[in-house]
Amino acid sequence: MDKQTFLQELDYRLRHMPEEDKLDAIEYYSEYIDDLNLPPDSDICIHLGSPKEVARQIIADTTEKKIDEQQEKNTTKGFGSILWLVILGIFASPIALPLAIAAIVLIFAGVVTIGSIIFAFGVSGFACVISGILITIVSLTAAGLAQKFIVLGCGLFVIGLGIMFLLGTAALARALVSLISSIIKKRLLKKKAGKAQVA
Amino acid sequence: MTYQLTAPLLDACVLGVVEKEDVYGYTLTQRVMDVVDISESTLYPVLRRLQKSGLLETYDVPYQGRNRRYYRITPPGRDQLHFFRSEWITYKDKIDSLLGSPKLITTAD
Repeated sequence: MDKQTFLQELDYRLRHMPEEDKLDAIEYYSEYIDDLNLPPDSDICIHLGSPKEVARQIIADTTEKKIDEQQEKNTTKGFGSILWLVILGIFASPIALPLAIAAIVLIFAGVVTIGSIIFAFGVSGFACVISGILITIVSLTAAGLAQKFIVLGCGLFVIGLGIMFLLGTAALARALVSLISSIIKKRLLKKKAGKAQVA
Repeated sequence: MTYQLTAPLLDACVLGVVEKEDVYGYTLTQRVMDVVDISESTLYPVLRRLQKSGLLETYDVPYQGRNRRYYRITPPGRDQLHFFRSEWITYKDKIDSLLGSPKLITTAD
């Protein structure tokens, strides 16, 4: 990758940053690449890594700082506001408790629903395969040769449909499981990061 | 390298280098890379952060038809460096007290 391409891509990757920060980074790397004194046609990425990696480092650093600032702001709550929160908590508990229960029930219902849908898909797929096999067998008893082939074709078609259904169900289930686990992981990580900051 | 360089330690090293003389990005990176295991793109975020928190300042010097941005340590940067140095000595002594000092250990090589 040459200098021009590298800087263009870096510029693109940093497009969500404040203009001033972006320009500073571009200038720095433009200068740095000049200082590398590479022969023409050599790959800059060997030295600096890809623009994507460079951008990620820059963005990670600035967002980390922002999070720190945010948390500092959040943790500087006075005694008064904590007292108010406690009072609010006490008054809200008759409402909050049932709400919490409702939320848990809702999540549980959601899990059960998704589970049932996946189960239903699976059963349908399985049923298709079984009935396809039966139709294929039955096709032998059909009257004429042409009829035999038609029924056989139907049977094979249904088997294929069933297999596709099963594969689709498996993929769906896997996707949902990974989605849920990633959500949970993110939550846990956020909590952990918060604790680490406090410590 | 066995031990990881943490962000504050890297900040401290950069301040240490810049205190000796004003540097531009490339020479700074080469100098730090000679000693510790970092990549060539590690230092930009560090420099930017130190600059934004007022520990370093920059000035441009024309060089071969372009600009070179030099970094210079500021008085708050110097204070921070002193703080980093005393912290480092405290930390080093504490680790030494657990690890044992090199005098007591016969080195393998």
